Amino acid sequence: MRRLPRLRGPASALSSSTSCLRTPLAATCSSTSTTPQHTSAPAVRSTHVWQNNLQRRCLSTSISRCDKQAQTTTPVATEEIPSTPAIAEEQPAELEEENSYYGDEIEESTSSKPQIETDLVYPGERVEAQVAEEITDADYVPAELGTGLEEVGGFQDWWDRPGHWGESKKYVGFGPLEKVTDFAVMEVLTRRAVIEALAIREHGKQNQKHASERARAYHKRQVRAALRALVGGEEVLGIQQVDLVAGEGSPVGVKDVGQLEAVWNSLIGNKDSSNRVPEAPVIEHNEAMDLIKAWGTEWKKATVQDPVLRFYIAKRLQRLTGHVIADAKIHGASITIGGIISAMARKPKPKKLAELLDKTGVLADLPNVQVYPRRVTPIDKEQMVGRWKLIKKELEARDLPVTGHDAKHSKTVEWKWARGES
Amino acid sequence: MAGKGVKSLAEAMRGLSIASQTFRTTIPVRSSPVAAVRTMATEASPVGDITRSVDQPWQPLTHVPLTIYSFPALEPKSLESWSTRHLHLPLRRDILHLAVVYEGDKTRQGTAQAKTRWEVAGSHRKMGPQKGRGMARRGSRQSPLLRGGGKSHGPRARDFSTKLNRKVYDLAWRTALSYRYRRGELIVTEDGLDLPLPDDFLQLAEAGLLNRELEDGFVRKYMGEVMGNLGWGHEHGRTTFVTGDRRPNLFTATEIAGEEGRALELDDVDVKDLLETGRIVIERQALREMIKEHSSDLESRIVVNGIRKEGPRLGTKLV
Repeated sequence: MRRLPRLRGPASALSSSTSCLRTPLAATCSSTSTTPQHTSAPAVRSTHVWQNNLQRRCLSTSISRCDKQAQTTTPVATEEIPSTPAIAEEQPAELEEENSYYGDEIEESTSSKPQIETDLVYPGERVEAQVAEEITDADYVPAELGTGLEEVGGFQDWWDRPGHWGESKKYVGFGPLEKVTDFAVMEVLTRRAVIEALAIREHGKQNQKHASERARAYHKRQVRAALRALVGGEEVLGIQQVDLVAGEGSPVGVKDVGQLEAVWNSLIGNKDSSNRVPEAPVIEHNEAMDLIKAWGTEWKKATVQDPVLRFYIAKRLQRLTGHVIADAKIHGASITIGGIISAMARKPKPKKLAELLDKTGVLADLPNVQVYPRRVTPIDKEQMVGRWKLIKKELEARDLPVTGHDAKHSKTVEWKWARGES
Repeated sequence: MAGKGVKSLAEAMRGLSIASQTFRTTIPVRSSPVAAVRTMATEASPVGDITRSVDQPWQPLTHVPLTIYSFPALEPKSLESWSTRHLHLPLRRDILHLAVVYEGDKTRQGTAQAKTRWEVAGSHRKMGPQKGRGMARRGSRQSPLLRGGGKSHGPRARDFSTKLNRKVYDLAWRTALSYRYRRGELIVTEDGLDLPLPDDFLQLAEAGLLNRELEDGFVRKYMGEVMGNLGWGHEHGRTTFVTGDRRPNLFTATEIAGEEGRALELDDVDVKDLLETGRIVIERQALREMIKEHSSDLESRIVVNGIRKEGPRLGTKLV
């Protein structure tokens, strides 16, 4: 069981002419082997970082950047970066004071260095304070002790400080970050996803009739775009007219295939290729409840036997609701639409027994049973009878440790011997 | 008591009947609302619908779907169909146990070695006279009874590795993968799994505007955001990434933010790794190679009439 060693030297990480170790994604997708590919005679570039001599460890994975680096060594902003104001132009007011420590940092430092368009705020050059002998101010009194002096500098939590972390660095997933939790809305969106998936499959069937390779490729792209479409609440509610053919145990379908055309058009009309965070369609709970009542429960008993249709449904549901449905939860020919809904809506098991008991309320009625989420410690017991504050006060008065042990009151005398104290 | 004797057999029998025992109604019978809920891992869950009529044909599941996702957006990109003998095997805890013990034994360093009396350096001169000292007799200073002497029955450097039939070990690999698949903890990504870091950060780092601490801090925060939003991080049991070879950003990020997960090259993975952490994220080609390498129990090495029995096909693409 070989374990990972600490980060190796980046000699292997720096491949030939560009700083891209990985071949671009498109190229690797077609590779048939995952064995390490050693490029012949890698030209190790000495890319050093500030204040240390360690070589670069993080590398770009975007194709455009690799190409540009190959052309020119001057870093330039790529198209993929959202256009944000250059940091030198505007800064939050609270940063100004802090930045004064780093001097006229960014303007100065970037004037001599390449302009990089970024929304990250980074420190400028280090500014040394005057030594005591050079200070001419008569009121200046040098401190003799470090205590009480203001602490400046340090990069410990630099990126957590307000304004330093760029907005564009937020995670963008395929589905909305806020998952849909309303069960009624979930059901309506599932019906929408089923109808959309049927429309997409129907479109794919028609496209197979195309003879030319080019036309097929075009329609394949259309299908891909339709699966990524972001629809609003109004369009979701527009599916009321589409009638599903659904009965217990029978495969799901639509009464009139022509009705799917409008759904397909709404998908193509809302295709979204931007890199923004998707949002779930806005549907009111009451509206959803009305629709559910009108539809009944029969449509949920229909099966989804086609694995491709299941894939489309799961993908559309992920886009609309943010729930990722695992394959294992919806495989098999007997899975119904209701099964898909319950797989999506299933809440994770409680991690603690106390949570489960709290949820089910099994022992809540018993007067002689109490459930605690953690071990009841002696301190807890003292607190319950209202003695703990007194004990604490008395311990503190005697200069004894309140909890645990300290150097003075160690458990064993050997501990003191080991420290050479007595 | 004596005066209240039983008058007849019929009366005695009536007295024993349930209806006559009125106190039964007074005991409150507590009906648990979660009687049907499985509360313990070892408790058998009620199995229903396991019998079938002879007129119903037996059609076991032969293939299961497997979605290929992108990373880190987790967009479902394509769908593959895999044999149940690859990814849907029943859980065999015994086989997994055998494999983990086998790996553990094989991993033992086994280099502990104490010196015996024959290996301790020094003169073999007798330490004192045999008799007349009034104390125990002493031979050489290498004697195990003396301080600084040799160790009797001490540890010796040896090979601790045990044996396991290859077919059993291979079955354990696929059983571990199947276990993950069933629980929805096997996420297969497109080839080239790596953490794409923002270009402006990389440019800043390359221009030397960030020091090591800032660089690491950025990667840690960025990794934390990705893993937190995916629900894969520390709060959710960490994640194991498996790639074909070393990916600089992903491996660096997991080393910096080890609380979020770990990354392993395919050659470094074993069955125990597949069973650890909250989920396994593996790139498509690595999974194919892993299953291909561990299918000895499915295919035969014996050729009969020029034909060799081959196992089920690796995943076929559906979409």
